[in-house]
Amino acid sequence: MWASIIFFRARTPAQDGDLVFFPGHSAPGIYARAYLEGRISEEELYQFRQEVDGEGLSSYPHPWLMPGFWQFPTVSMGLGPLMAIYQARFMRYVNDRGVLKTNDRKVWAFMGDGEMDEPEALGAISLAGRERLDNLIFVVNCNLQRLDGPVRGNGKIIQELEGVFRGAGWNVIKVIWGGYWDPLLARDKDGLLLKRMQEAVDGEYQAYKAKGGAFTREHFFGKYPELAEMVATMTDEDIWRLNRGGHDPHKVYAAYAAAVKHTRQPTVILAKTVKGYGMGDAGEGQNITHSQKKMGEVALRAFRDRFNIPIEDEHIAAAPFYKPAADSPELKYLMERRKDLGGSLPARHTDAPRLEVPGLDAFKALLESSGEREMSTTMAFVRLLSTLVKDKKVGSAVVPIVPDEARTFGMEGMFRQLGIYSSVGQLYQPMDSDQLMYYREDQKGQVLQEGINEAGAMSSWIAAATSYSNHGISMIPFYIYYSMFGFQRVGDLAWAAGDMQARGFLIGGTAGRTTLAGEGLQHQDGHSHLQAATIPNCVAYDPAFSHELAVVVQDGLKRMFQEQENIFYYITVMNENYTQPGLPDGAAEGILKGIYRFREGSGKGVPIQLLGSGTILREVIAAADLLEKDFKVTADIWSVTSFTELRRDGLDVERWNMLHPDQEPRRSYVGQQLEGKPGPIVAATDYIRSHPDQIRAFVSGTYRVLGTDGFGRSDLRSQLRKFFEVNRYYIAVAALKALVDDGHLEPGVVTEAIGKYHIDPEKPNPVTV
Amino acid sequence: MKPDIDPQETQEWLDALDGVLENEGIERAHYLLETLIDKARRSGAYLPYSAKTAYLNTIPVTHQERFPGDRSMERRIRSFIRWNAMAMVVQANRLSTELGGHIASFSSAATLFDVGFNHFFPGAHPGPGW
Repeated sequence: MWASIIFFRARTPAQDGDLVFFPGHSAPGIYARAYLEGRISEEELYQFRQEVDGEGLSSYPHPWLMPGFWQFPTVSMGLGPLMAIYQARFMRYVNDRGVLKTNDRKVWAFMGDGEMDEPEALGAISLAGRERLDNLIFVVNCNLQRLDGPVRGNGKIIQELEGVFRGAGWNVIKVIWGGYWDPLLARDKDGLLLKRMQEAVDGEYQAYKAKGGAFTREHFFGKYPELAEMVATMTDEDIWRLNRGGHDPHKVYAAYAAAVKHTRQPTVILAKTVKGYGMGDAGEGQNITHSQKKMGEVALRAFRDRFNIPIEDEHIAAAPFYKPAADSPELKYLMERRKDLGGSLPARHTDAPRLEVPGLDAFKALLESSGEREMSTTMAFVRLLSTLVKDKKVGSAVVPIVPDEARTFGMEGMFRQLGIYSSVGQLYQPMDSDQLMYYREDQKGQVLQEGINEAGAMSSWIAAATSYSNHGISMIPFYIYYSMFGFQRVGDLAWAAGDMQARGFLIGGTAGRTTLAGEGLQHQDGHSHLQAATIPNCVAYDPAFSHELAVVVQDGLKRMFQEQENIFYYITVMNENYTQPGLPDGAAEGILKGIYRFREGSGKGVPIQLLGSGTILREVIAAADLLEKDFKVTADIWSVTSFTELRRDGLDVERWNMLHPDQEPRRSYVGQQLEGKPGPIVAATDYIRSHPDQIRAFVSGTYRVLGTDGFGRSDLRSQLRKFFEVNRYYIAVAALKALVDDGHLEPGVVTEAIGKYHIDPEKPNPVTV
Repeated sequence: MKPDIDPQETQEWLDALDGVLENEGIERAHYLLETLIDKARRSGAYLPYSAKTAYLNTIPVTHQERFPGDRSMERRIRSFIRWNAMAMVVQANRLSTELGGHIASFSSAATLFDVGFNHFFPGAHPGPGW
């Protein structure tokens, strides 16, 4: 039973298995082998794709669903090849840094030829060539077909890929023809057979296998009398049996043997195969075969006969599973092979030692008021990271990852301090070598500088964030990037990271639609928090102040690396400078839960509750001051560090209450916090309104939200906040309107405020312009 | 490329190459060929670069490392795996076609995995209790 594998199998410290990325659509074949090995039961085979009750087998490789078995989710297409490259690179990185010896291990990535059309599949191959990743082997199964039809009907996918990979510095091994072709090729003195092989296109090769020997004789060999003559003594059956390289174990073995010995380059094996091999008329080489999932009795019988499966005629229609006796020569051979190679694959482990992470006091400087000194939360983050990398226990486990934006985030000091990882060190004297913070590359460098390459940086982060399971050692990756280019750009990888139970920090820098002022429409992020909220094990925060950031990160370290929870963090940081107030007494719990009262209103005016997140909390504070001064309205101010966490808590409570109607109802955290607090509630953030709307169901009374719905644009922060109607004046007006609607103030007060604050009521709705 | 206009000259060059391969080895042959190409390019010739090789196996039969396994035994095992992989998809879809699944992808890749499983992929070393 796969779920119990971890329990029964303590890993020795010498664990050094290869990492294999199995292609998703071949999952049944991997289960079928595990069944013979006794790792999966017959009952489980009957539960293929039926996972809700009990322990079914997942459709594709999903570590979330089969955490003792699968390591790498390779569906959706293209992510496997990309993550495999960065896994191999990460193994080099930890090896070069002296963190973990990995240089005797290889990464194998199996993929389909149709999959190679994904930009992700080929997009990083030049990195593998440049870094000379000879610990990496790609095996492209070139069965010439994708779901709808031929991959390259009019050309040759193998030749195309050979050119691409050779150009990128890879060792390319083509395995096109099986051994039955060898005698024919040996007789091809004048090169006519080779000429014919080169002429025929993939669409034709597919048809040869679908239509049989006579067809191949006529259309392939028959084109030239000399070739027809060459096969004249062969039967149609003989011709049909002329095999493809990927189906010949001798050829495949020779290719793998050459690949594992090859040095200084990654290897790609391009193996030509037949899609639906063995399915006969039910699908062999046919355009419909990818989706074929039924076999009638005739097809089953033919399949059985072709592969000599000892199942009697009377049982064949039932398509029973077949497993020979444990002491049969076949099972003994199979088990012996795996024993010699060190155990079964795939297997995912979770026995990495816990890390002892620093306490909150380690980040004391960030918990105190900054006094007059202004600082952004990005700067606070960099200070926090600098502190963490110096920690004696976990500092070396930290993996800072940047996609060519370190200077944007003020991290250039780390170039010198930690060094930028380079497998060859630094072969030149950097132009700024006379400066304190010069561009230092080092083979033992700690920073992964991935260049303008979010997908690659995210893949590096995933490799580091799953190191606890793939390498038995926890690493603490921080990937910091423009928040707009995170989930929106590499969301599929983020979803895969959730599946893989990645543990680490994603730091969305330059966050907030109005806070990143000049960069405009494509850069200004007003929704990454909603995207983060779609991933169940992603915990997201939008802290306003350095003390909130420090509390959240420290707790994240504790939860992920000490308590080993399968969660990862998304935290936004901003580049607006302001003074930092310091951690109020008793606020830490609320910061982590998602909300705490930042300031209690001290006036005696009409009461109201104002909520804010990130930099917009400061507009909320300013609005509270205006309301007190101009309208005798006294506001309590709440800092909401995570609307998403509050919603998750609220939904969980609501669900529990629904299912336990006879018991004392539970209360959501946000509901508890705001209960009994007088007045309506107004929330404002730098994100679209759907973000603060997440808690609407859990607060009672009037709840109004302001946000940055619409396309961003370039201007000063003050202008943008006016445009998106999230500045202090709009917040004040929204607050007054809520008080009027609730009957606490006279209607005229809103008009008065609109006039007083020079708001144009006929200004177009920002979502329309 | 245009047809051979002087087969005798071509043969002389090929014989010379054979001689180098035989007596001085592949590296020397590679060096000479690259030098010739470089010389031609420096003389102004446009020689389009092709990253592609002939549509043949990269490893010639003579250089194939010997397969150490028992081919017919491995084929029998692989056949069982093929059957069970197919049967699990068929079984699921007898229950309901809602469940879906794929037979043809693994069918094409079975040998590629098997050779790895039987001869190449080191697993994690088993510990106590395995």
